[in-house]
Amino acid sequence: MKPTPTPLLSITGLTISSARQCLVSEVSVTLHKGQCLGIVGESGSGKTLICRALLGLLPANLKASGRIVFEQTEMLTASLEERRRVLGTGMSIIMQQAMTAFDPLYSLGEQFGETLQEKLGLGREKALDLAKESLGKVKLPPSVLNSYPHQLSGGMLQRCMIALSLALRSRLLVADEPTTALDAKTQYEVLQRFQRLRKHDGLTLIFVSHDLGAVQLLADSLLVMRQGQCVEQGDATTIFNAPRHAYTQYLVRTRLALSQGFRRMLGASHA
Amino acid sequence: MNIKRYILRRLLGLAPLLLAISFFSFVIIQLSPSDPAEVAIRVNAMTPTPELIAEMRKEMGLDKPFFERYLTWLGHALHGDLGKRYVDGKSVSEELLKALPPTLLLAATSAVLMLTCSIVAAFVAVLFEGRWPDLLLRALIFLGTSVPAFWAGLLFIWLFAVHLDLLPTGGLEGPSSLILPAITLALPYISAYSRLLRNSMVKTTQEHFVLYAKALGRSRKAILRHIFRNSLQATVTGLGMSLPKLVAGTFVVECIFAWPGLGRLCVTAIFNRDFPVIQAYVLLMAVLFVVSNLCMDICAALVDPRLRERGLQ
Repeated sequence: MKPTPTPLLSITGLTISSARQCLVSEVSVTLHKGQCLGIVGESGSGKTLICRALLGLLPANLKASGRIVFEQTEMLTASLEERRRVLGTGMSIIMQQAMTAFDPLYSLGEQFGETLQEKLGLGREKALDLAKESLGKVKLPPSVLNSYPHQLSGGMLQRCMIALSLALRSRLLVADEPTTALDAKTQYEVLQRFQRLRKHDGLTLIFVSHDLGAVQLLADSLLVMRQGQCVEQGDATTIFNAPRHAYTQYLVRTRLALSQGFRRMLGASHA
Repeated sequence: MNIKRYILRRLLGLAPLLLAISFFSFVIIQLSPSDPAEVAIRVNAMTPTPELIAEMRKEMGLDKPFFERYLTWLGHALHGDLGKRYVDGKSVSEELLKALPPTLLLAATSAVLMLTCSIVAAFVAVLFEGRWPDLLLRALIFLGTSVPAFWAGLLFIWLFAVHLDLLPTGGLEGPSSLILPAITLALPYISAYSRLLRNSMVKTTQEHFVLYAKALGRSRKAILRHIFRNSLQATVTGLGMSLPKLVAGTFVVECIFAWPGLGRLCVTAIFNRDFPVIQAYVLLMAVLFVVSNLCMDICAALVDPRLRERGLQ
């Protein structure tokens, strides 16, 4: 892929620390429009912290230093107002906890409606039409808008989050462990959906997972995290073919065993 | 719609409960060790000779079997007739209706005061969580919870009525006489509900959907609205008990501020062993508790769609 002159997102020397210890140290990465960056690592390696720092939503007791530039906005130093303008329409997230990501007291229609009205300045009717259209893109019927979150499954709610990002036309989508809580078949469907979205909608994606097999299907470039350190990064194919660091080698080895199922399903659907 | 069926079901469940309440408020008075006939004679400053007592028992229907007496009383009560006072033979219902408006006025003012103050305090505490306004409010809440209401009331009288001479010490003469009793009555509730609502809101702030709303760049106002509605459940359930308690609990405040309400009527009746009044008061309060609880359950179901479904299963 030919890189465009200015990257969509550039992270330079991102360090996240609590009062006692350093949780993420010196992570630097750039991401261009249309690309997919995979962030891999075991739990506790700082993947989710990086996502939250991107959105400017670190817990109050953690401090981030370095630079995160999204388009023209310095995310770490931006005022609340500036950040609010970027969030949602510029950059949005697919939360790991789909079941609890929506307010349980409002129907999805109300939540889609008010979010789209607020962020895009649409009228109520237009907002709901847009919501229906984007739900269609993730293969959900418009009747979902009349449901409350507890009436839907985790997989459907995750698709609702994707639909909301699509409706907002987010230029960067951060997916935090979107496949972790799902069974193998649904995992495969989710991955296929992301692949399709990348192809059709030119989505720029940060895909976070502890599962290298899942990341391999999507990512152009890779960031391998371990205990807050970036142990290896660069072009995805290169890393998969010739992992340099011992930890990456270990991940690639175990991944082969785990992703047999995926390959079979992929093979079946391509045939 | 769901909510209508929910309300209907709950209303149907109300009937047996009200019947049980009427039965118990009748039985409790019957269990009292004093003989109503003797009491009725004594309060009129007559000597209870055996003949007089027997005559009185017949007149009051006390010689009839228990269930017959209960059914007669219930039948009259359903028609709004709660018997006559022993002291002066006046109708109990009329006396209750006369004393009810001042008590309701006091309770309603306190309720409005309590809700306004609690909600404002909770919002301030959440917006400034961990900083000085939150800490100050926490100290005030602690103080408000620990100070007994009657003592606070006496202090208020001393400061505002005696020392500064701004407000009347008691009685019901115009709106200004409402201020001190209403504050005294509301004080412990303000503390309790500020703390309850604040804690619920702080807890809700940690929920994933709040993080997601922030990640979508939603406005602070919109996020606070979601936090507030999600924090209401404990408060609404609590109010179901607290609102009737405001009415029932007025008697301490009514005595301090010489408020011509239900509480004083009942306390006087207790001293005189005026059973019909006590019985009617117990019945009225029990009904009030049940109805208020039902209203708050319906409110909770309006707030939370999950409760509506559970209520219908």
